[in-house]
Amino acid sequence: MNKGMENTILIVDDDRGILESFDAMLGDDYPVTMIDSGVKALAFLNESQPRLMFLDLKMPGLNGIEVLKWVRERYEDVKVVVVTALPQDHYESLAREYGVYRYLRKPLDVDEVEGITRTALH
Amino acid sequence: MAGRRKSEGTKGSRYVPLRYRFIAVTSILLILLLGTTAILLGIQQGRSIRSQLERRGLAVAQSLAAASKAALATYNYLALEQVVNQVAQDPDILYAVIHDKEGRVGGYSGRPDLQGKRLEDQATAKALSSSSPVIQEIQPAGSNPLFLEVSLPIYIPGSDLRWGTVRIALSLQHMVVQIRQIRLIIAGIGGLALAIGIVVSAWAARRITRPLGELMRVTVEAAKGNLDQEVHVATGDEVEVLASNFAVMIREILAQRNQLEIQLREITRLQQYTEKLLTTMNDGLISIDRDGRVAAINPAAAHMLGIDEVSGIGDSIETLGSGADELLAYMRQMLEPAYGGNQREIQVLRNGEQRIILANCSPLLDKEGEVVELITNLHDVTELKKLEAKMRQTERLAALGILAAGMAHEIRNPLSAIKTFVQLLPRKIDRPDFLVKFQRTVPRELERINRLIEDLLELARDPKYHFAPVNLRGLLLECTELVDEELAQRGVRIDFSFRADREEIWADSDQLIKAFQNLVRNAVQAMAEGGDLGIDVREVDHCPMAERNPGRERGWVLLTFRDTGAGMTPESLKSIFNPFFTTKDTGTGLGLAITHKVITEHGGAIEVESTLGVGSTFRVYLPSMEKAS
Repeated sequence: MNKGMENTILIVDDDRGILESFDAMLGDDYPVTMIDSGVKALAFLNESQPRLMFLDLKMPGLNGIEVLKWVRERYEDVKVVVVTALPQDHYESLAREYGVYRYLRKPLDVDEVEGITRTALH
Repeated sequence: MAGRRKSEGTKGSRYVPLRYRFIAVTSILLILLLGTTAILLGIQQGRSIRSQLERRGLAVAQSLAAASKAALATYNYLALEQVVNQVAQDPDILYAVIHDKEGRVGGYSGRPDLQGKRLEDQATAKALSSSSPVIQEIQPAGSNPLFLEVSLPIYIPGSDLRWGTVRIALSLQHMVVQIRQIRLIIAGIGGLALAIGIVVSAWAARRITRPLGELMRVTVEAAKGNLDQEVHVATGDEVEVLASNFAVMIREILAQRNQLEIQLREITRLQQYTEKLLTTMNDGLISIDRDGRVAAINPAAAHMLGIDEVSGIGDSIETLGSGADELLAYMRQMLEPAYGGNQREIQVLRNGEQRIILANCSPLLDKEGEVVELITNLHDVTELKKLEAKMRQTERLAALGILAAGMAHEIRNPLSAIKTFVQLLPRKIDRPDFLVKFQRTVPRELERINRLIEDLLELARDPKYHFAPVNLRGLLLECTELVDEELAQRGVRIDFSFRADREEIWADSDQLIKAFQNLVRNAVQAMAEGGDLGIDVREVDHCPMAERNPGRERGWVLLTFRDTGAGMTPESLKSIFNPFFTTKDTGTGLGLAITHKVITEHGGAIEVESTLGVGSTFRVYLPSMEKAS
């Protein structure tokens, strides 16, 4: 990863379909980095901090809540949007407790993702 | 009781104190002894006096004979009379007579008129006819006292020619008086001796019987039940031994009585405890005898049946209330010796309210093993049943919740991807690279949803297997090859050991490979940082989970999958085979559920044990070839 990639949008999700759909939504307009695990995401974030990241909750190894907590403790400027297919409400309250920027439930809406991205980056 | 017998005995056989008996016996003995002595002494004295008298009479007669010899030879009657009267001067001599050789009276004291005459009385005849001295007692006519007559024949010296006879009458009056006096003295001494004897014997009797009296007093008290007393007897003889033995006996009885009291108290306490237990216990207890009559019923049982407790005892069980028909039928059934089965849930109607009671019978047997009573324990499980139903409902809902949440997650991911591509399609329809991505992603994600549905259906469908002999070793190798790539990626090593003699088992290979694959994948995913997966196959005789184990010739194949992964908490272990339950952040949570179903439908069993941070071990038991065929 090169330095000065602050404008990139980080997508962290273990689901290949979700990563591909983010690429389809945002890939044409923004620099997008795709990572399929929480552990790898932490390694990336140590090198460079994007202004916006989309974060899945249910992932092998290190889950989204842990990643969110970790990011919030270190990099206050990174806006974290949680995207999850988990229906349980307590994940949302947990995420809000750890200072999530937005909490989105799958299936995602293209317009909503685009709107959040625009607002977050301008 | 002993006391009563004693007093009855004393009443029945004329109670005379030993002391009086002793005194009476000694007195009688004394009287006999003294009486005999006195009589013998009297007789002896009488004899002595009389022989003295006789000797005196003889002496007087001899001197009279000597004095009258010359006069007799010469028939000098005057001289004879003189001599006779001289002799008769003695006051003790009543008369003196001298007969001549012809038997005529030569001289008779005080009776000169009889001189020369012959006397015809019997005494005279006897005196004259005897050739030796004669002593005879004579009772004169009238009330004159007895006297003694001594007669002595007078012979001429040197010849047996009789010259005459001398007779002396001696008065016995003096002798009688003397004897009477002697007797009086003897009687006096005897009386005195008797009195002293009685006093002494009374004293001795008292001396002997006093300790006996003390002993008796104590025994009477003891008989009355007053055992707590001392025996003071120190006579140094058998009575003392008796008393000390009695004291020992009393102490023994006291100790036994105390022991009995303690035991009685304990029995009473136990009885009260049992009663309290029966009264306070929440479970009902009804005991019935073999004739079907109520022997005992506790308040809880009465309450359960809605009847009055007291009225039930001794009655037929039919009176236990109309709402308890099922219970009555059960108890009657249990009275039949051949009837098996025991615990039963029974519905009873208590005051119109339906209650569920768990009844449990146990027979009370006597020494011969015969049923004496049947004790039925009643436990009201109505509330428990309600709670159970509620819990089952909750569990069902919880399971459904996990299932729904799992399904939601598994469907929403592909659904989200599909939705995004569909939403973008109108905008990017002219972009060939987008269309390529569309073509690649959307059908794949649709297929994911479809597969999920199929998995679910698989779980829910009726077993439809194609059983055939399957080589287990080959199947396991195939299974590990399928995850080879993943193994290499995660740095997991497989340690495969096949120790079963027979390699083939009876199975549906497609299903079984799916089941094993899930286990292997599960293990691999638990070892994110790499590790060892041990797969071990061997034959065993028993399966701990199987209800009925086959014989040795049948047996089981045991497959062990042991990983060195993250392990699981005991809570997780309980739900591990539930659909959509997963501790991992990947996977649908259907894998192990399917494995469980497949193994079970092969007639096998699966169990798992796990330690957090150490790893998990899955054990799969599959029936050996013979059993399945």
